[in-house]
Amino acid sequence: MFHLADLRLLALEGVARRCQQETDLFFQGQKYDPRYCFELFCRAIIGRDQHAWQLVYAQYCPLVAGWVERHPAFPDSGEEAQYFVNRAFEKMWAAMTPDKFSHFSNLKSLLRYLQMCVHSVILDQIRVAERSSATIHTDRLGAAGRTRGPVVEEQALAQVHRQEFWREIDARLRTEKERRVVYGSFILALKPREILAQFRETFTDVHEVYRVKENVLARLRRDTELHEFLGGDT
Amino acid sequence: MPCVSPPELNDRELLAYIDGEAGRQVEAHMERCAHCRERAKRLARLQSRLTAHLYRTCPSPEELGEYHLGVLPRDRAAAVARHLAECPHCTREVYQLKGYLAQMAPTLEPGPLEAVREQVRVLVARLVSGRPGDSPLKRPALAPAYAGVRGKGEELLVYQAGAIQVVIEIRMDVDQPDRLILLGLVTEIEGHELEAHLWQAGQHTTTVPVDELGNFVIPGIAPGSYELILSSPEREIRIEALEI
Repeated sequence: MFHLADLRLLALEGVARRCQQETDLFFQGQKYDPRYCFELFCRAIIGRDQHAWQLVYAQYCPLVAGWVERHPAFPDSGEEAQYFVNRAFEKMWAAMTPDKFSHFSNLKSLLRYLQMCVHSVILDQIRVAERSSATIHTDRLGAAGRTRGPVVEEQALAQVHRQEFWREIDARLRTEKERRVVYGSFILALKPREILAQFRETFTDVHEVYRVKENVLARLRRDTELHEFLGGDT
Repeated sequence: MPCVSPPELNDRELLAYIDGEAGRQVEAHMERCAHCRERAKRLARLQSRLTAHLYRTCPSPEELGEYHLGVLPRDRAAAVARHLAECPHCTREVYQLKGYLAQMAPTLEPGPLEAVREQVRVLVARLVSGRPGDSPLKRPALAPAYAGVRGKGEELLVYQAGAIQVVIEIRMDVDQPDRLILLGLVTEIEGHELEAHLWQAGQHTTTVPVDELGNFVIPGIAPGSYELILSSPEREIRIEALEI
């Protein structure tokens, strides 16, 4: 059996072939050596070797497709499994820096991270759908359907922009109660009664939540700097 | 166009109307008054835009995942922990991730313990009591008795794997103020040479023996997400996604 130092001397294709053989043994329930597959990940990530990463993809694509298909949210996602498989590999490639790789000492922990990426890409999709749904939900009168732009715009709005916008809004809030009402209403998309339940120690009753919300909204509507974001007709 | 029945409704009443929480008088007014309906639409549009710009200004699913796997830098992990304390959506997503990873665990390569002991019977323990918000009435009979031994006021996590029960209590480590101590009790397990192994992000952290009464103590633990493995030559009990 090779020692770890010897493994590094093997050609990339040799490592990939042994990884495949050892994986086959694993799925047959036999003894196997996970170090070849770990070495393959290692060369891809630490060496930022695209070819090694393609071999990782080829080796694990069927396994990851199985993970996608068994995710509880997959059937309602409206996407093909392959879409999420590709997004999961992309996410891991982008997120797993050589520095971060040092946290992972074996194949199991790396595959667990890849599983986490599968879950993340499916949740990314769910969050987009939820965001549209939450936006429309706030409007009993159908006003959101008539406003052009924001619903579509916000889907493309990067997370960083959302955080910047929140900082702008947060800077205009005067009390913790105001912060919780705005946070609950627009970040969590909760109605006042749900905000009361979420922050029971902060408010005495639902009327207080409505009163605080009324005051904050009036202030935000008067704020000329926010007109561009909130629409001139508000 | 003026309000048909002055004084016009205030914004608080309009907000309640939009939420479907308004009283009968407000509902009746809104049916008759185009002026107040138009004001309600503007208010609803404002809320829609705020929601569009702010909804789920949360850590990304990936960051929540890295938090759960214990690979986030310490400052980001602290920020995510604070966020989780007030965001039911992210809390739900972390629980979903835990469940998903536990469900998918058999598709991963066997860990070092299994590789050495392939004949070992592996059981995955599930949490049966001790989640935040659990009623004390739901605790299994063992928990109060155990609490009597350990002292009141500490939360007990009770895991079940077949007939085996594992009770865990996390406390501050008095010798290391920024660290925690795990007190454990295993019941209904036969055999000897039982050991408790703590793992984080696939890396072994520590191993301690379990005494003949089933007690074990792991001091000096940094807060984070761990996997606890109780192993003997005959079997292995896994507690995954243990938040310490």
